[in-house]
Amino acid sequence: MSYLINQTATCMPALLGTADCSYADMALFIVLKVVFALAAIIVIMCFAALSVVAERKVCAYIQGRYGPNRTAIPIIAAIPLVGNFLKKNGLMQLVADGLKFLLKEDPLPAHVSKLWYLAAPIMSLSPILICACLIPFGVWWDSGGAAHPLAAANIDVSLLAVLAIGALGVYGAIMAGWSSNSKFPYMGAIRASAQVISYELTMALAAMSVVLYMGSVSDSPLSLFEIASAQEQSWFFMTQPLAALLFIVALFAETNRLPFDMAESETDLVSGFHTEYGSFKFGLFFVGEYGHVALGSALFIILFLGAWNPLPYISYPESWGWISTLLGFITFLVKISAMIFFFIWVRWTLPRFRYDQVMALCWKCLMPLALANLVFYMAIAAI
Amino acid sequence: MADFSYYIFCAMLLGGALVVLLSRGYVNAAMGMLCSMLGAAGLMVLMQCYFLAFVMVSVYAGSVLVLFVFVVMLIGDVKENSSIWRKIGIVGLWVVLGAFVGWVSPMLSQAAAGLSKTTEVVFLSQAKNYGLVLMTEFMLPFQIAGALLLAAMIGVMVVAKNPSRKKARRELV
Amino acid sequence: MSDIINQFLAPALMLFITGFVGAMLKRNLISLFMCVELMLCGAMLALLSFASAYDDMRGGVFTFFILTIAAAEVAVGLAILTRLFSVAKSVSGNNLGNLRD
Repeated sequence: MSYLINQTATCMPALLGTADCSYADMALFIVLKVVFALAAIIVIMCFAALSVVAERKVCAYIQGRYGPNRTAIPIIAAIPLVGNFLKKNGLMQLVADGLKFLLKEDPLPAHVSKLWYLAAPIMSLSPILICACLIPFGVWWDSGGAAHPLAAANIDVSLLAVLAIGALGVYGAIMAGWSSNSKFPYMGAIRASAQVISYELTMALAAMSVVLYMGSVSDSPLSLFEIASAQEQSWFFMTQPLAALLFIVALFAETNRLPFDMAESETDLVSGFHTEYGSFKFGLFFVGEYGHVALGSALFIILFLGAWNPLPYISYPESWGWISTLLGFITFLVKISAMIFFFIWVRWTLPRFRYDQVMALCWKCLMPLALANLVFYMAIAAI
Repeated sequence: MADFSYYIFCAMLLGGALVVLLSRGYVNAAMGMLCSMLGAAGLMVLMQCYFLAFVMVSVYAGSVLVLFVFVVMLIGDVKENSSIWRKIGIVGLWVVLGAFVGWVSPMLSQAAAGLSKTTEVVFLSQAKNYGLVLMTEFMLPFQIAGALLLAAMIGVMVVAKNPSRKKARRELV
Repeated sequence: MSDIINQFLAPALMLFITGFVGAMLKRNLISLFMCVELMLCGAMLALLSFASAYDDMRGGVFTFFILTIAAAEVAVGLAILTRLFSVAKSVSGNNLGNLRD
């Protein structure tokens, strides 16, 4: 790891064309970066895949059913304890679902605009994969005692970058709705674009009150790693509860989860912007949605829920070295799982809003609250 | 490596702009513009203005273009059928003007390079410096920009409010 | 020094020219609008190419202002366009000659 930090110092200027370094160093550096980026993507994608199963299981428990518990892969299911565990918890259903997405016939309706119809699933998934590389998953200390983030890319405006690139995912929904050339996807796309523009404002304003506080304690207040390291004592949801509430409401709207899933509300729009999609292209939308949920959870945890610190006022000591790095990483993953459970819980508990209610809630309630919250913390910072 | 990404971003920038110039539908043009804006943001990253690059992505790609597509969807996409000769004419004009740029741009930068560099510290890459400069040296323009945004917001509300709806309701009563 | 400036100035000028050609030749207002945006973006890149070569904050801050103004301009312009569409049923610039409705 410390090798990588040194390499970054020498190779980054070379990549930007302002300095020179040997091709072997550069190649190794690029390979390492790609490996780290892949690792971050794999973590987010694992969460996306597992939350599909979790969604079905949790929904089943909430509705008093068993959920998927029959699917079995022949040889693995015969392993004494593990096989039964996997079968009972529906984990093999995951493989079956994935295979179904892959092996079903891939229809291409005759009335669609082909290029954008094919590009839309990719456009909805790829921004999430880019954002995954910017999320710090933990902290580690080099031999000098300086803290570094466990992230594939550490830039000083990573919060802004995640918000900006994450918002690009809406183009997937818009282009899917437009290119499908059919009524319901079209309405879903219009709803998605209006909703995302509106709720992005609330989300950014809520995050801004955290940045405002960070500006007084840190030199790069827009960096996710700095925000996470500032929460070793009190967490931001304790000092800024309203901002946390606004952020999570906006997050539900941004990720198109149920109280706000206007873009694909099944009752009035069949299944919204991906009505015309089937098989693997639908699978990409599906995974993209859960990836967005996992990413949003990670963002919320870093901003308000103390990132990799286990409890408020308690953090893993620096003197434990890599053990506390590992513990912090595990804590972070556990927190993401808990947040995903919260997302699913809300989905199966609350009914859906009407479209005009969603927009009225944003512009008449959340936006003024977010502005008032920001002005309040601005006044506190000024005093 | 820097050259490689530089050429990719330039291709995105100019390719997207050409799509805007030549495309038949509005949505295709908007997507071309998205490509162009992402290319511009990439070039800004190469200039080490990370903050501006991501503000650019957030404002242009995240809001302005979504607004464009939203309006296009409200009023309906149109396919304008321009003739092939018109397209060839446009591309020809573009190439001629491009050659002119290729001729004039080195001279421009030659003239600009005569000045001496003021500082050695990298200011542009730090997000905090923008806040410091905005709040000290550029305080007045900053306030004026804020007032302009407020005026624009109120103006949009007034313009977008449909007066015929009120009239229709009155006739209904 | 002139190489560094030229490297980013040339694409910026080219983008501006593209927007300019479009703004001259396009008939309907939405395409016209997009071309004006391209011109603004080109101007922004040109400012930044000088600013980054001299590492001068003022160029960066002006880029920031251009971004702000462009966003406001788009919002107002698109509102006017939707209004125009509901009155004239088209967004072609050719139909704007009428002085009364």
